[in-house]
Amino acid sequence: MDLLDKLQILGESARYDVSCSTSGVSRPGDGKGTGNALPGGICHTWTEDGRCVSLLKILQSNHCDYDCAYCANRRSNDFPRTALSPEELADLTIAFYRRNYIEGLFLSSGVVNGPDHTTELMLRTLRLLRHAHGFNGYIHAKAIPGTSAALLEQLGTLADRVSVNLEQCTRAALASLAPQKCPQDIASPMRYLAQRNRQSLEDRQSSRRAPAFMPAGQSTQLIVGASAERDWQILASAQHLYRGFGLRRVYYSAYLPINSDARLPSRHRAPPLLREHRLYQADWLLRFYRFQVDELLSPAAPDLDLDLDPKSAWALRHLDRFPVELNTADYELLLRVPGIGAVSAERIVAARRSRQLRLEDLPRLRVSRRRAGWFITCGGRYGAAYVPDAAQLRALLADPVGRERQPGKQMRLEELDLVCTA
Amino acid sequence: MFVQHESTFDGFLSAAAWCLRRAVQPDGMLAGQSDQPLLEATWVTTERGVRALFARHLGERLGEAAGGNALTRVWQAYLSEEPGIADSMLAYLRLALRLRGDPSARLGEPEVAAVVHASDRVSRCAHRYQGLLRFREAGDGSLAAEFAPDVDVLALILPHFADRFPDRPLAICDRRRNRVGWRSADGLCRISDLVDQPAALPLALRIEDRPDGPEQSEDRNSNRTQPEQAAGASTGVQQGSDEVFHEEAWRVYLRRLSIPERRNLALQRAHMPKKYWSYLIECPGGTESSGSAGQQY
Repeated sequence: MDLLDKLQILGESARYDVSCSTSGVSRPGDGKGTGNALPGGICHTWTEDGRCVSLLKILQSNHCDYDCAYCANRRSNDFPRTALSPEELADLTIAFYRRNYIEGLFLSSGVVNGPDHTTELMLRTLRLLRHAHGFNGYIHAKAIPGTSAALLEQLGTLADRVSVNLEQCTRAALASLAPQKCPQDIASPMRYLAQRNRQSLEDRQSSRRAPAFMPAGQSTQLIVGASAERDWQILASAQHLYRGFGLRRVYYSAYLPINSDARLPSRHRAPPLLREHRLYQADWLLRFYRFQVDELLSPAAPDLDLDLDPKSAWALRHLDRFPVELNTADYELLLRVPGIGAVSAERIVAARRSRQLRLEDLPRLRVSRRRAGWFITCGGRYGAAYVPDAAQLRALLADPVGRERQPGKQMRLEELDLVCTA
Repeated sequence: MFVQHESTFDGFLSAAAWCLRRAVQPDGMLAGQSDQPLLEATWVTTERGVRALFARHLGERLGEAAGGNALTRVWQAYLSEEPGIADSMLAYLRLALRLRGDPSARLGEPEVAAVVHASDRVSRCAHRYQGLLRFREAGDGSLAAEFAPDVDVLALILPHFADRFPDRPLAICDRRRNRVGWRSADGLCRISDLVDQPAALPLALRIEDRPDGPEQSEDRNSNRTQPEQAAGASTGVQQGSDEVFHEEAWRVYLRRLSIPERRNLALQRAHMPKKYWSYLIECPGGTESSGSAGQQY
């Protein structure tokens, strides 16, 4: 099998891991080796499914000892198996990097002769890149559940980001769909990586010369729709991971029915892309808009509204908080207004220090009056032409440009942007 | 009264300095040729060291960080090439010096908003091209790329790639403006007009001696302050032998990375409009190396 064949097979095997971020690390070139890393991350291209490509996302090997029900690479699936040698993979990464196709490498693997053996193989690739090639670009490495602490330590010193995929957020779902993985095999590496990352950050505050450990932090992935888990459970897990483990990102991957298995949804069921999109929007609210999970969902109302973004849905449940006066509302309240983003809220607060704002100023502040207008006043003037009732407002927010828009020109909700940077 | 200046950022700053010293509020700031001044305009000659002069004044009045940010914003707004932006740039500088603070937050002011949004647009474009530029490796190991950006971002992205690839010569050609930025073997970054470039040979970038040397580099990271002679005569760069393989490898990889059940061409185009595709080897219509099968991605 030649290199191109391996590249195709192992790239396809890695495509269901959705992480694409290259942000969180600021590392200039060292004048000798190759590469640098920018804190904001860089997108290099977009595939036909609309996803950002910033790294060479690939498996070291798609052989796998495990038989997880949802996984394309599970042991019981019959398709070509192959592996890239560390030398092949390192050379390919450098060649792509030099041509500016990628920001770096995203390396994962099927489990070959156990977690530690698999991790040692991946570490050979990373050492070749960092030491032999002098590579200073971005590396995201997957930690295999059950990997020993000693190997995790090496992984964290070579990679910028390390992730352990949770995939399921309940023990019952994990036991059903991935019986060879025990919760401790997943939680233990995550806990170790989180603790080492915290320690490294503290050490570097004392001395910039202290070695960095996983400077872009840790992330994980949750599959959406492969089991009976509700949005409330998924987001509550995400909130716990952000606060308890200090994770930088939780990614949500809509389950694609690639396997026939009685434990999984029918292969004829459409993938829950819209649900995945709503989860990302809710995740954004948790991380940047100071929402709590219990403001969005509860055991009694465990699923996000598919017709509305979560922020608008919250606003409709709390119309007593509106309208908000832009010249006096505090930052936290501005963040709650549909149509006002975190950056726009900062701009409003900064701009009103010099003079009172008017509705005419909103375009310069990049505030969407079409959306925010229903919820604000500015200098005492209401932001919209009339005051709708709750039912009208819901209809307007679900279709913000009005029913008269041509169906063909309406943006399908599935087409809305997925956030892909940390 | 109109004030006319050389069509460079230093030319604009010289005119701005002239207006600020005399407390003059011109009817407009016009860029032009020194040998073709408008009869109704006052021609202001470019001052030597005017950029450093502004950096010092802004630093003293606003503080080092804020002063640097303000000058960078104005420079980036200049690179946007938006008609009439010079008037807003002058107003922005005047406001910064009067307030002794960064005026960027005053987005309610139309001139401030114009400069900030123009600057942000240039910054976003530069960031985008940090990802969308495609290099080809020549037989001698040098790297060459070409693009045609809407705004003049060559000076913004050249230092990024010079830092990223310190071990080899590289060149980036702006086809829209016929300019080339390059880092020569001695590590210096320069930007020059692209003279007599055969369009059929995108990898052969000729960098010829010019009597007055190349334009002073816009690279703020460059240590040199004096114009340098161009790096020797023509530097034809031939394509490396494994270039075809790597381009094909990238295309096949991307094809297999895409998930068919999630196919969404509208979303792809929303992130990566077709205007960027001409120089992307993975996109239909993108430049392909000679000998490539030209497979559609």
